[in-house]
Parts: sequence; structure tokens; C-alpha cells
Amino acid sequence: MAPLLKVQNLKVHFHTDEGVVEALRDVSFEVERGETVAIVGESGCGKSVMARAILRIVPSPGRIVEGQVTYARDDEAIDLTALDAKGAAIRDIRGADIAMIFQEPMATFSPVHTIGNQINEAIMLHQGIDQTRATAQTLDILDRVGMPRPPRIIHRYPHQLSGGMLQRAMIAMALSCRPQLLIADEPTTALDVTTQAQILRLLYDLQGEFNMAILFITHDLSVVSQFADRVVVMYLGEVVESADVITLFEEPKHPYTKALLDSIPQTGAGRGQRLQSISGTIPNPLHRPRGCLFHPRCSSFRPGICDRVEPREIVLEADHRARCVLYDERYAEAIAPG
Amino acid sequence: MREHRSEPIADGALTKVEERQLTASQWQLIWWRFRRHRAAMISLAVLILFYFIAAFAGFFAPRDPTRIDAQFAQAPPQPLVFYDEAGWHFPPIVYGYVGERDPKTLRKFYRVSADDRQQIRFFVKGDPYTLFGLIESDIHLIGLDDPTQPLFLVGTDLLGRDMLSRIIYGGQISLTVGLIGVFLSLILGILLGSVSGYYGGWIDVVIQRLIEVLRSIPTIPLWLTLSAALPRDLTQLQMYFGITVILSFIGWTEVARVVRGKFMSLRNEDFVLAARTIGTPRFRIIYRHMVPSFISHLIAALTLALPIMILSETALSFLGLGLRPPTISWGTLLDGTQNLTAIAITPWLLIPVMPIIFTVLAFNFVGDGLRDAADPYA
Amino acid sequence: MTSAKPLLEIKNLKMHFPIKRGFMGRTVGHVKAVDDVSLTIGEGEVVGLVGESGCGKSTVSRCIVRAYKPTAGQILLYDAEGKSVDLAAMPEADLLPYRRDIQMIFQDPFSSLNPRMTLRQIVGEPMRNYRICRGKELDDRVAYLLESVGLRPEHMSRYPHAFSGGQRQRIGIARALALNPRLIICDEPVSALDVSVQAQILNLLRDLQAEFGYSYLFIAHDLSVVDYMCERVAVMYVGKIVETAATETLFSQPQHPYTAALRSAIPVLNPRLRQLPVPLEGDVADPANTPAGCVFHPRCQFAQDRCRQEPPQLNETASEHEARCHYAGELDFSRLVEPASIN
Repeated sequence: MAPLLKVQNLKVHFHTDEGVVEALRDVSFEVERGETVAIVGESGCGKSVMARAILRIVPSPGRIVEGQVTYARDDEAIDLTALDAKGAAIRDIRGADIAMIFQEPMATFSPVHTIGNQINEAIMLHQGIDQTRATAQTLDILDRVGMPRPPRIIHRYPHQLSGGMLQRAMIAMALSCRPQLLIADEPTTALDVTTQAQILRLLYDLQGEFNMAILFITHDLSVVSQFADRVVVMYLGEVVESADVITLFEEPKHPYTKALLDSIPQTGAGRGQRLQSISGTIPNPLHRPRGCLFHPRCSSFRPGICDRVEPREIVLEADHRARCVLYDERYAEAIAPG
Repeated sequence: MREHRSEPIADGALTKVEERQLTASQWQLIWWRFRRHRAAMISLAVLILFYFIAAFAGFFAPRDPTRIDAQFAQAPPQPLVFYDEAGWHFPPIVYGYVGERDPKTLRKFYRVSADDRQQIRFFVKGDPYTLFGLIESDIHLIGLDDPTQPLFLVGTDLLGRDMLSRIIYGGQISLTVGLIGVFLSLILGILLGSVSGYYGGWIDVVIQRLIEVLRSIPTIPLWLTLSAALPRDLTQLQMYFGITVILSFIGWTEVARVVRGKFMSLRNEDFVLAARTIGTPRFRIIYRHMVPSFISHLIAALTLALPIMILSETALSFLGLGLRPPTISWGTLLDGTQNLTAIAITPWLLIPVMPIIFTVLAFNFVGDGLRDAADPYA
Repeated sequence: MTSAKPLLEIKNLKMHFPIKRGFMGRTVGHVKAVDDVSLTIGEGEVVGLVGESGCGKSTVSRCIVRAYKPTAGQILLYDAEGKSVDLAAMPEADLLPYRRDIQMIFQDPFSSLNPRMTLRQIVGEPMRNYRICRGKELDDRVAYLLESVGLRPEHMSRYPHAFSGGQRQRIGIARALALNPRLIICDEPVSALDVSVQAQILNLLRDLQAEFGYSYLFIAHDLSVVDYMCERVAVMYVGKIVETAATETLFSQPQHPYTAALRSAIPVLNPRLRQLPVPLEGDVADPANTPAGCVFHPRCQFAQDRCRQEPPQLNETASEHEARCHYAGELDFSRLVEPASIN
């Protein structure tokens, strides 16, 4: 069976006054039905742009330059990049087949309509049912996301709810049409740890219940380790490594993934062990380094190769890929110690 | 122990331009942004040209604006002729006037006649003038060989004074009355606004109520009342300052409000708190940290307020309540167009509205450009 | 409490903000942002203050630097001879000589630096204010400070917009070090930074502490960061300290149910060790309208009738371990997590 979502060679460019920013350069990955894929990366890695490119809501002046996003709806394969970004076809998929939740729930809801009205409207739009049945569904979905007293909540306005509650309402709206794929863009970043735990728990439970796939976009590796089945690590618009979650955390191959894992403080580790920090800063996207994008900060930097050659994606195992010359047999000799 | 600390700033291959960016001050950044706004740049050039002409009015005006040539009262504009049957003319020529009398109304009027050709020359001697009250001269940009011959490119007024020269001289007053008004607004506004915003408490309450009262009075009647209250026997200069003060009377309230609001929000900014924790004196916090953070916004806002001031001066003078003849301003020049028949017979008396329109538009564009460029850190 | 000599002692600190309503600005209530907080920071000690947003931890830090004038309580600053002054009640004008002992590092590296000043001006300003040095000497001192936080002195004439978040945070640190303070308040210094940069800043702060013996009050919501940095931790909830202990003890044997919940809510960086925290019910209490009894009882799994009526006191329950809970030491927190299967 074809994967639910297949992203191939996706390129998104932003044409700014200062020059062209390659927000995504050649990104490929797949999402199977019912699984959770985490896209991890720091600011500027392009993870949010990618989420938006799938739904064709890349903000101006960004443009999809190349690549396909194939969504398998029942037996039909739809290339989302070929659809008109403002057309009926993509609007039909947005919300109904693929839903998205954001870091800022306030941005999803209109401040001048009640929560109930907004969820009702989404249901009526996608399912073509009447107000009474839509309201019944709204109450049901709000109940399922653990909202206390849904009959009262539907009359509330967004600003009357706390951050955690609003996040629940947004999830309810996203799930109201039973999407096959939920894109969660940093859904817990703005929340406190205890609220984050609530929301993660909720997503975990709902995923089992609705049997949907989740594309989880985050910068937080600990959340990823607890939540994802497969992980895609991005840096400056490229996928540097992808693997199943156990492999990625236990046998990371790309120096960036390794360094990132070593630089995270963990409770229990205490003050004894010194954190391994990654030197330097994330480069300005307008001044990408030549060769490997990570080479100026890399501890395994090989002069003459890394600063010249753009590394290929190497398949290490069935599902484990890394974009690094260390694993490229073409350079094995040049890199071998001594 | 120390190696991890030396985290070189990854600036790799920085171009000269980028290197300059990094050390650019606020004003440089604003200027670079402003430059990208084409309409604003053109408008700025226009304004600079206008102010330059007004500053050297004596030189640019072909005649003394007060010189009465009764013989040529209400003469129509003389077009500049670059080409006629005699071929090309550069410098261009003008045709002289022929006086005629309307057979029905017996009113005297002028017509330009191709029979009388006058050659325009550059840098000719003409009426004497004084620049900035210091330099005496009689060289004009353009003129005729014979200074007694008429040269009225935009016609004359009821008394036969050259409209072009009067418009150029009028700019001196009309272009500066707004500037001084805005400057006074700025000073008053920053002073009262910062006191109100920084100290708060009852001072704030008093100033805020005062602003509300002032702003609730309809502007035009207030101005009328104030200008009516000015003594009649003021000199031209005193009158001029009187009007600027009146114009800034309302202007400062807006500035004070903005300043107060900025002060209140800046008081809670981290960098202001940081300045306190490192022992920066209160006065220095205000002028070194707080005022520079909003002064550019304020200047942009005031640039947008300038045209209103210019229009207000014009309106007041037009109504006869602002400046009064013999003071020459664009408003007083329009004084003569109050009756309809005058406009029907001598439509060129309306020409002073052109510089007003251009100035107001130009200030608006410059203001827009400044507003967009005002916060280079956004 | 601590073996070291005390440097700063906060006693019963209260910061209540009035809620004003209506045209006349009538006070209709108070937000009890900080309600009876006591905390001691020893000479050269790193103390953590953790809690979720709105718990009052930042207000405590802002009271210490006197951005606010506390409603009640004392903030005692000790000098080398052990004599103390109370900063809480001191008029603004008298604070100047004591301000240089307490410096602050801010959370937001963007809003905490004046974008209209160069590095030279930003880092040099504290020394100008106290007339420590000027001219060439000032430049040299700024260069030294920039170097010691890992920045290049050649960049002294650049403006903050030329730097990334992590680099700006270093500038803020250099400014805080300029007066050679005794206590540095780090208010969430890494939470606005990218993961790969956080470790750099944490290591820098640790090294500076080891080298110059500063005391830190380290404020954070991220327990793992606090664990890495601090010797002792205080946990705050709705304006009150609910538990203090040495870091290891606090994480291995928490006594307050809130600390335990906070601890279990942190995802562990290990995909083989998956566990589902049993999330706390509901939202953080409103500090303007706190519940009767224990402030935590509406969210507490272990709440009894006593918790709903009688507010608990902060009691020493074990050596150097205090908890504000009636049942401290008697509760079994293992049911706060349940293992999850990898699907």
C-alpha cells in the first residue's frame, strides 16, 4: 500500500529584497498510515515551512519551486503541489483529510466568533450537514479532547479560555472531520511542562482512537523520544538524518544529530557531566556555507571534502539515512584515519 | 577550560556592504530603508527644491513681489515660447502684451501678442533684493534685457504685481510656518508627555484631562477665536509667530499622548530595567534609552502632521484671520480669489494652490516613507 | 540551611499588585504574585527557582533588583563582614551603591539590549555609571569582558542587530559582569535560545561561576536545566515556595505532589523508557483569587479534606529539605506515571 503522504524533492524558495532564501532544498520523506513522524530541527531549519508547503499555505514571498507532495486518499494519489493553492480541491483536503494545529492557538480562532460556532462551521463546510447535527458533533469532539463542560464552552470566545484549554479547542477543531493526517506544528512549545504533558497525553490517546497519522514538528528532542515512531532531523532546509526513533537515539550517525543529543541537559544526569555544546551559531540563511551546511560547526569536519562537496543522502539501513560524507564510500579513502 | 568560550562570530565571507550594516546606527538604517521608497525619495527631492527656492526667493523671483505695475493689472500669464515660425528659441522668448478694451463692458484686458517678442536671459540685473537680510543683490535667475518690460509668467494680480514672484516669496512663510509649528508641538509634546508618562500619578491625570479638553474643542473655531484674540496692531513678524503658536496649540496634544504611551510601555522594557540595574541615572535613562527609541516614529508622525499645519495656515489666511496682506503667504495670495467673478475673469489667481497641493502631497509621501522606515529593528 | 555565609536573604517577601477598575481607578482586589517567599542564597552558591509561567518566580527576581517595591518583607544583602542592609524598603536614591552587587541576565536577548547602542556603549555603560574607568581604559576593559564571554573585541562598534540570539545573550552576560557583582540573577537565560546554543550559554555560565565565584539565582521553568546548573532548588507555585531541597534530593525524593508532577511531566530523552505522565487536572490557580487551604489542592491527586481548609506551612521535613504539604513524606508518587508501549 502506498504511504499516506510522500514528500519528494520538495524545494521552497523565499524571494526577499536581500536575495533568495532556500527555505527547503530537496526534502523527501514519507508518512505511513497511523504512524507518528517527528520533524526535528532548530529555528531556520525549514520545518514549519514544510508543514505549510504540504497544505499549500506557504506565506508570501515563499514559493514551491520543485517537488511533489503525494497524498493517498483511499486509492487515489493526489499531488498536492499540482493543485491550485486557492482552489476547491486543496480546500477539500485541508481540514477534512489533513488538519493542522499550531503553536499559537489564538491564530487559529477568530476572536469575534464563539468556539462552538467556529467548530460547527468547519464541520458543516466539510461534511455538508445541518446545524443541529454539526452542534452534536462539536459537543462530542470537545468532550473527547477532555474539555470540561462542552455545552458551556461552545458559547465562549477564544480569549475567555486559558492556553491549555484553547489548545484543546484547536485540537478538537482539527479532529472534527476525522482527518487521516494531523500536522502538529510545535503544539506544546508555548505551554508549561504540566500543560504540555496534558496535551501530549491527549494527542497520544486520540491517535489511537482515531487511527490517524501525526506529523509532529518540534525542536524538542525529549518530546520526540517519547512520542514519535520515526524521526526526520532537519538543518537549514535539508534533511540530515532520518531513522526510526530507537535507532536515531541509540545510533545517531550524522554529527549534527549526535551533537544535538549530547547538548541537551537531562534530569538525573546532574552537574557532574559537562554538556557537549555545538560551537558557532546557525548561519544566516542568506549565507549558506559551501559544501556541507553543517561543516563550520561540525566536530568531524574534514577539510577539503566537507567544505567543497555537497553530501548525498546515504542509505545506511533500510530506514536509516544520513546526509554525511563520512558514510559515503566514494570518500572512504580520503576520510579513513591516517 | 577556555576553548569553548571562544565562539567566533560566524561571519564567513561578509561583503563590505554587510560589514557596514553591522555597524550602522539607527539613523543609517532608517535612511537605507527610506531610500528604497521611491515616491518618498522623489517627494523629498521636490521638498528640498521648494525650500531651496524659498530660501533664495530674491534670486529665483523675476521681480520684486511688491512692485506694483498698475499698467499691467490683471494681466494673464505669458507662455514661454520655445518654438514659433521664427524657429527654435533658447533661452525661450515671451510675447508682449497688447492692451484692449471690451467693447461691451469697457473693461480693460490684456492679450499676448506675437508681434512683440522679448528674449529671456539668465542672470540678469533687475529689482534689488536682500538674501537672508544680509546679502544685497539685483541678479535674478531669469529676466528680460529691459527690466521695465513686462515678464509675468503666471500673470499679475489686481494691482499688477507679478504672481510668480509672489508665489515664490509666499513659500517663505507658508513652508516655514508648519515647520516651526511642528517644532513647537514636538518640544511641548515631549516635555509634557514624558513628565506625564514617567511620573504618572496626579501629574499624569492633570495633563491627560487638559489634553482631552483641548482636543474636544472643534479645531477651526478654536483657531478662529485665538487668531481673533491676537491684537490687530502686530507687526508682520509678530503675527507670524502668533499664528505658529496657535497652530501648535493643538498639535502638541497628539505628540504628548504618543510620548506618554511610549514611556509607559518602555518603562517595562527589559533594556530599561537593565539600565536601572547597572545604576544608570534616571535622566540618562530617559534621554539615552527611552527617547531615542521612539523619536523616529515621532518624526514620521510629525511629517504627516506638517501638511495639516500648512493647510491650516492657508485656510486661516484665506478667511482673513491668519496672516494679512501685505504679508505674502500662499494663503494671503488666495485671498483675492474669494469672489467668483474674480476667478471667472482672472483664473490665474488660483495658481498658488498648485504649490500647496504639491507640498502637501510631497510631505505625505515623505511621511509615509519615514513611517515605514522608522523602526529598523522591527 | 547552607554551609556558606549568606549573601542574600529574602524574608517573607510579598508582592501584591492592585487590580484597579473603573473611572476612578478603585482597587478591587490584589494579584498576589509573590506571597510570603523566604529564600537564602549563600556566598558562591547556585540556587534554582523553578515554576510554571505565572508562579511569581520572575516577580521575585524583579523585586530583588527593585524593579518593583515589594509590598512587604525584607531583602537582606550581606557584606563581607556579615553586616546586612534591607533593600526592600530602601528609597530608590539610596540603592545605587548596592545595585552593583546584584546584576541580572534576562530571558529575551532581543528586548534586553538597547538596539540603538553599540556593544562598546552597552557593556561600557555600567562602568561609566560608576565612574570606574573611561576612554582607552574603558575600551580595554570592554574588550576583556567581551573576550571572557566568547565574543570578538573587534566587534565592539557593532550594534546588537549584527548578532544572533546566543551571541546577544553573551553580550548581556558581559554587561552583567562589568561591575564585578556578587550575585547574578539569571532569569530564564536559555529558554529563548535554540537547543544547540543553550548548552554553550549554560557551560559559559558554569565556567564563569567556577572561575569568579559568583552566586547565581537561576530562574527557569525547565527542570533539566536547573538540574544541570544548581546545587539547591526552590519550587514555586502560585506565589509560594512549595518545596526546597538540594537538587539531587529534590529530583530523586520529591515530597510535594506538585514537584513530583512537574518532575514526571518532563519527557525523558530515551525512546525505550516511554512513560505517560498522568497529567495534572485543570489549570494553575488564579493568583488574584487563590483557593482556600492549600493552593495546589484543586489539582492534587492526593488532596484530603484537611488540604481544602487548612493552608500548609513550609516545614523542614528532612535535613535541608522543606515542603509545604500536610502529608510531606507520606505520599507515594509512583502512580503519577504509567508506562507506555511503543506503537
